[in-house]
Amino acid sequence: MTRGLRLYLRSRRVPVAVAGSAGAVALVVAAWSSMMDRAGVPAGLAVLTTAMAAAPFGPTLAGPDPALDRTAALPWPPRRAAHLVACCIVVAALLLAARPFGADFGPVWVVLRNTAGLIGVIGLGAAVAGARAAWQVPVAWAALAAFMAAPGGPRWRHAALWMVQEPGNRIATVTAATLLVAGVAAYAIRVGPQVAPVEATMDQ
Amino acid sequence: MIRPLRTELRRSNAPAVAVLLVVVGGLSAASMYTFWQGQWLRLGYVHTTGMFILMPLALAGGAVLGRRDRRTRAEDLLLSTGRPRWQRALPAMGALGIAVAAAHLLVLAAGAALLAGTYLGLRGAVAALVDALVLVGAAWTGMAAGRRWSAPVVPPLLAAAVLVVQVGASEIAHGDDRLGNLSLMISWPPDTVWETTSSRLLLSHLALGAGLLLTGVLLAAGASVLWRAGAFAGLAAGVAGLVLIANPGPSGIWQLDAGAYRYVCADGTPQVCVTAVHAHLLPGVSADARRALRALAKLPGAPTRAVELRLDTIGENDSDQWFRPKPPPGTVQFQLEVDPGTGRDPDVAESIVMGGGTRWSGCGHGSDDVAQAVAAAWLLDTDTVRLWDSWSGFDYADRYQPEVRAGVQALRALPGAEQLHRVTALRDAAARCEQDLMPYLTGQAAP
Amino acid sequence: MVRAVSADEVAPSRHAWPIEAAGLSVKAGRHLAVDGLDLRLGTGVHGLLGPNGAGKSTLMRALATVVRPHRGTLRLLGIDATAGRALRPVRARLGYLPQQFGFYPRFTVRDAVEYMAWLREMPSSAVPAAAQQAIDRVRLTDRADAKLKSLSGGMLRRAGIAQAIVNEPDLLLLDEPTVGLDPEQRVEFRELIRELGADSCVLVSTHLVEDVVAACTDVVLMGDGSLVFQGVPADLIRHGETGGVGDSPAERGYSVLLHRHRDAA
Repeated sequence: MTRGLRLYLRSRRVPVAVAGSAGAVALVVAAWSSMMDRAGVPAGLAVLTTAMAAAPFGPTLAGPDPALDRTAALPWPPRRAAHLVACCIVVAALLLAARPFGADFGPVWVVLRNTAGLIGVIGLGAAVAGARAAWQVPVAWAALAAFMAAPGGPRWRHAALWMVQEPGNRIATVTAATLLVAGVAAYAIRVGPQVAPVEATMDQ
Repeated sequence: MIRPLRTELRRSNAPAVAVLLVVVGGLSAASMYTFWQGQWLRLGYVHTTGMFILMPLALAGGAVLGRRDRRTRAEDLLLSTGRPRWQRALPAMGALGIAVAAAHLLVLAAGAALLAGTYLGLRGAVAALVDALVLVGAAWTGMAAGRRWSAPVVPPLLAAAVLVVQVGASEIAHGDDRLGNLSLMISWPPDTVWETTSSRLLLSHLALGAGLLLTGVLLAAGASVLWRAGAFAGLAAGVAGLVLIANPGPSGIWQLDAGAYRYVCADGTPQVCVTAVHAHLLPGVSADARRALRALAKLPGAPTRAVELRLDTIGENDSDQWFRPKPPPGTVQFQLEVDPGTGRDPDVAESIVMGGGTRWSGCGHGSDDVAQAVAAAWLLDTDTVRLWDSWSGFDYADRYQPEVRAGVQALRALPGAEQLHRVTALRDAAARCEQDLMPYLTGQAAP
Repeated sequence: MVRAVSADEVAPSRHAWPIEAAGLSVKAGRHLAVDGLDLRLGTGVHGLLGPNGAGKSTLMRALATVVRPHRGTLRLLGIDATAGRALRPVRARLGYLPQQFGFYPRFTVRDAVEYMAWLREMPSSAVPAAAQQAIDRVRLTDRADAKLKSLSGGMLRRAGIAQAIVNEPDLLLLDEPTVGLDPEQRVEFRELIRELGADSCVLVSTHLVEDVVAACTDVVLMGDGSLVFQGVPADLIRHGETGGVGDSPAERGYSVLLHRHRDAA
């Protein structure tokens, strides 16, 4: 790991986010495997765990001073896209790594789909409302999906509840992919709402 | 105090949290509209089960507000002022509390507006008031958490963790385990429309709300070990109350709402009564029911009164339960099942005259629907009758249409007195709980 | 302006010094930022000078009752400021602008000033008029209903001064109030603190020696957590006549005094 990357990660408080995310997943896995005989976690709980693992990465999408970031000579957009994709990989890896410990959050393909879609929503949220508020929509969406966790129904329902659909569901896959692409693109291009210089100093 | 509160109501995140709760609460209620359409107590269920999402969101909204002092570096300035700690916290707590409670009640009020003209008993609103208290407590506890841990991951992690704990607990409990009470999502919808959240369940939610409120207030008032211990004890007591007070399973969750359950009768004779939750349907129902009573009057010893069938216990999600209650003498019972598409019951008259008024005579679900339907069509002077049910619509009845039509034609081919005799015999046999009724129509039954 | 006057406001002050510190030590983290400071300040405008890290802000925080002194005695407006409960009346008569004025970015200037007036326990009927007057005095009248986050740095600083003076404090502590102000605003600001210093104790921490010379009746110079010099601005200038570095006699006096202090240490 280069020194620059290490400093970047620290400035974005990535270690705290990874610790929070991994700790939360570990608690779920520990509770599940100790109390249940079967490894398979039901879809609703798996979706919520994914949202819980992804949400802490929302605040890492903004640095302490956005204006300072803007002045950097490095081209930001590819790096921002990489940041978001890396979040996606970390979350998916955390969930998949739980399998040997007695908690199976679903087929690899479903875990990847759900993580990608939720990270995409976080990216969109960061671009539209700012990194600090980016967690709200994915968490609420995942909760609603878990609440109505029934696959099937009309097409709009497949799209709206893409997180709880069967692995082979094409509409759900397309929805998740669209969200990821839109999120990565929006975040790479826009970062977030403009912050007044005074606000940046007032609001940490 | 009023001025800072007003300022916080406008400038803090309280309005944003309120909007979030209204949108999420509204979406979850709207997604189940067909379930609670026209039924206030079912709206109550949809509204209270949505707390599963709203409570974590209120908690996180509180954490966002709690982080504010440190995030904006306002702590130094605040510490230099004379107001005691609890007074300093009061305007923000008040504003967020008002916002979350108002948001929750607003969704209920919007639902009530959609239900205007139907039964809107106060008992059905008690759960919403208790839930509003839980939301206020969650918001205040969240504020305390945000003050204590100011990392930006705290609000999202808190919201997601509470959601996961709830769903996880209900998965692990799987049924009759009290652990499942940790989840505010109610896994058993009410079976009948007279059921409202039980007093025990309300009490358990009240305990959670009180525990959360206490935690928020104590942590706002002081930061010493004693205050913190008190707050922790309050939280633990609240959660313990939530888990231990309520009984798991439908019988622990639901109870009859006496106001919804009582009979409301139409003016005039013959008497037609429905339960209060269906009172808004009474004009249409009474017209249909009186038509049916007139048709039944062709038979000797016909009932002179029609009342909606109701269960004197909470429902058991068993279709047979509707065929068990015995009618009082001289009374015919009928079940009201409302088609969500039209908002009315399409087969009141038909179902009353089935088997000469014996469909709901306390004998269990009769096996001979065709014979009953032939009698009904004969009484109503029609070629056939079609029954509607909420599962399959008209589909089930339509399968027997040819048989029913043939049976009616055969019956009408007989002499008039014989027709009346056979239908009366069928009715009497059905009232005695005999299962095989067709022979009475074809004249093959032993006299 | 008419406002309710409470009994202790009209009572003659029974204390000789609004700020009275003896052997005062204050910690910033684990480090003793103020170490054995003896200081007495009366009514008037006092300028607090000193290099970065001299402990000025820590002293200001202690005087603002934000941090409890580690050792020594501190009496503010005649009341022992090391005892927790007695602080409430002191805090009501205190005005404080922290080095980093932080407040809720979505509040308007008026919201923030009125909110602080409430926190300083002013009678609520007096709050709107007092807030308006404070905003007028810092010349933010036309931005009174703008949100804090939309202000420029200088305007935010002035909003900070407005909240500090809203309760007409007997003890006003301003930590680097002139940062971000343009020359014209700084002149107006000096005018304002001279007015305020007529009947209250104003302590202004700054790096700008000329502000102190122009507006202060008294100069306090700190170095390494202790008092280096206290006197009138003319004394500071006199020290600068004999040498030192700087573009004005006062700046030269500042450097001479600091050098002497460092050499002694």
